[in-house]
Amino acid sequence: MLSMKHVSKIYRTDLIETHALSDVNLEVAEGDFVSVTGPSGSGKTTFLNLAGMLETFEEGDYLLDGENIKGLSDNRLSRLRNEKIGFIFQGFNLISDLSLYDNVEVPLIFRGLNRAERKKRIEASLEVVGLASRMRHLPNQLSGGQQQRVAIARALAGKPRFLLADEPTGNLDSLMARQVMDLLQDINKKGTTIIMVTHDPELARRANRNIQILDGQVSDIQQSQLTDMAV
Amino acid sequence: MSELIKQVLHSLKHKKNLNILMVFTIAIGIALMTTMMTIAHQELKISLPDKSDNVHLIMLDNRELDAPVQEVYAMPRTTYKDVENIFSSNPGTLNLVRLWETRFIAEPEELTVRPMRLNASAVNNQLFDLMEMPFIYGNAWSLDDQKNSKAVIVIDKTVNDAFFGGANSVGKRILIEKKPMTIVGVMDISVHPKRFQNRNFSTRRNDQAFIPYTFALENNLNRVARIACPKNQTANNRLYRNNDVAGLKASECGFEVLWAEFKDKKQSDAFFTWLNAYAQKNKEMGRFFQDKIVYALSLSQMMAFYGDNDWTQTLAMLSYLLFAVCIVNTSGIMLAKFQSKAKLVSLYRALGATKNYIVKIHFFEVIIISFIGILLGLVLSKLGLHIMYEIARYQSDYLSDPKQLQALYSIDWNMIIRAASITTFSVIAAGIYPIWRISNLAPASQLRGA
Repeated sequence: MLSMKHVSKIYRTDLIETHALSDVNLEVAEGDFVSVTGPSGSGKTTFLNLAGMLETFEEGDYLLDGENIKGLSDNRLSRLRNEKIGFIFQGFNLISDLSLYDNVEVPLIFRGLNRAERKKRIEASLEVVGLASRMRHLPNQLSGGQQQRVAIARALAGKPRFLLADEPTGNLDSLMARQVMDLLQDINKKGTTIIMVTHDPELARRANRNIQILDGQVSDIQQSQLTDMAV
Repeated sequence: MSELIKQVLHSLKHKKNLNILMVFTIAIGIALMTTMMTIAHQELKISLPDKSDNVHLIMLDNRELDAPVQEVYAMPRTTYKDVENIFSSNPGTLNLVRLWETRFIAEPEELTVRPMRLNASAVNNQLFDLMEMPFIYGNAWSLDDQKNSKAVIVIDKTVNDAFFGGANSVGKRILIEKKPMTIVGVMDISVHPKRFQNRNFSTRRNDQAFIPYTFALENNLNRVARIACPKNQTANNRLYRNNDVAGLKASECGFEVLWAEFKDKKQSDAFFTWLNAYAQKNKEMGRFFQDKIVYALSLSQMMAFYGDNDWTQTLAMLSYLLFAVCIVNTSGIMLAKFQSKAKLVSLYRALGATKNYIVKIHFFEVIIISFIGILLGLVLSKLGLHIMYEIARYQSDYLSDPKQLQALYSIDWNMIIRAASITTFSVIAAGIYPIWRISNLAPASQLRGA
């Protein structure tokens, strides 16, 4: 359902070309929980941005649910992002002056859902992350872990096929990180495909498939190799 | 739509100080522009626009041969003799009007209110038709009244308000220099913000009353305007102004303003043919000396001359430039504000907002800001016009008629619509680049990191 064939991404400036990703070939099946690891600057975030259609690529094909996204209009790409993908960011990216309810509502407004449908979805997704009782609070009234759970609720409210998480526990302490990971695993078990970028081999090990990006090249690795990386 | 409005309002809450700055920048720009545009517009406003090309000031140059070259606008007034001759020959006009200014003390018969010193003119009754004078009560005096030098008067609404509390005063009497005059009409001269009828185009004061010229001559009401006499008669000037009516009538001193309104070009051509012949004939009799004697200026030509106030036009030009500077500033502030929202817009894009949606949010934000700026600007314009009005009052030593002057400094709805349209268009134009920049932000550009 997510298929990249010979995808390359090059950043160009006046002086140099940087090959962020080279000839990426990857298939992610429905229901997978894929961790993406690799050293800093290896192209993990670029990969996630391409997967989330936040950036364009120069070469290759990217099929999302069978639809080749290369050359699609901005409107169509925005629609696909809104309907099929949920984003979770390291820095949460919540809107500080909106309540939890309003934060979760944002992507649903972009989809054009009516008020009743939005309300139903917001309440359900905040229920999933255990924050339904605090929906009128502002983000800064919550802990880091709770804020990330709101971000997850926002991503879930649109009922996406994919969750793309960029270092979702990067700003959290170990206890909160574990809670967020537990939540992501629960979500995955209910059928949502997750691709998660992480530096942490411990967290990567909790995914059922691990890929590594090194110098823009993507390859599958075994759980045991993750252990070696941790050592 | 309500969701879009919600997003716009949310966007407006972002960097409120910059919004306030933008609103004030726009408001100051529009206030300066509207104030000066309004003054320039009112100064250039044509009196009697429907017929200003057909109404002509008629002048006969009776100066000596060695008289200096001078502008047509400054040609002398017409002598009693010539006006009488023109009227008695009746060469064909729609209206032929004679006028000179006078000034007198007026008071009601019963001394219930304080007397007033009125600026007035002695005229024939065709003036009211030429000026399309709106009457609140009554009408102009009749030709018979005029022929018989009847003591009748048409007063302005302001005088009627002061003496009769605005009630219908037709048939009542007031005293002019202690002589009783019957009121035949109450007019509203405020429709004419300029006193064009005496060819001065004053915006400071207008006629407050009109009386028949026959009555004015018979009762020797003083003549307050300039009397242009030939060198050999200049000595009698003061006498002619206050006492010697018979002498003035027989003199070559010009003191009458003569207006002719024509039906069409054919009628005006015939009139001027006759008048040129009359002038030549009188030149042969030794009354005129110049090669060109007959001069005429249409009301619209005179308006173009008297309304073209260089100082006002310069200020208006400066106000446009300042407005342009304000708009450029607004664009800069808008750019700064929108760029400060880059992270939020990036997030919106990542969550599925299209470029069009981002454009819509910011476009409506620009519209709302410009709308508030325009409203505030119009309030400031009102204040600006009031300040300019007070300055003008001060410049005239507070002797000007406040109502007359106010007309020049009143907000004109056409100006408001024009200024609002220019501002809206300019602010939208100023917003194009900032909106383009923010809507083309790459969705991934601001979302990294903590």
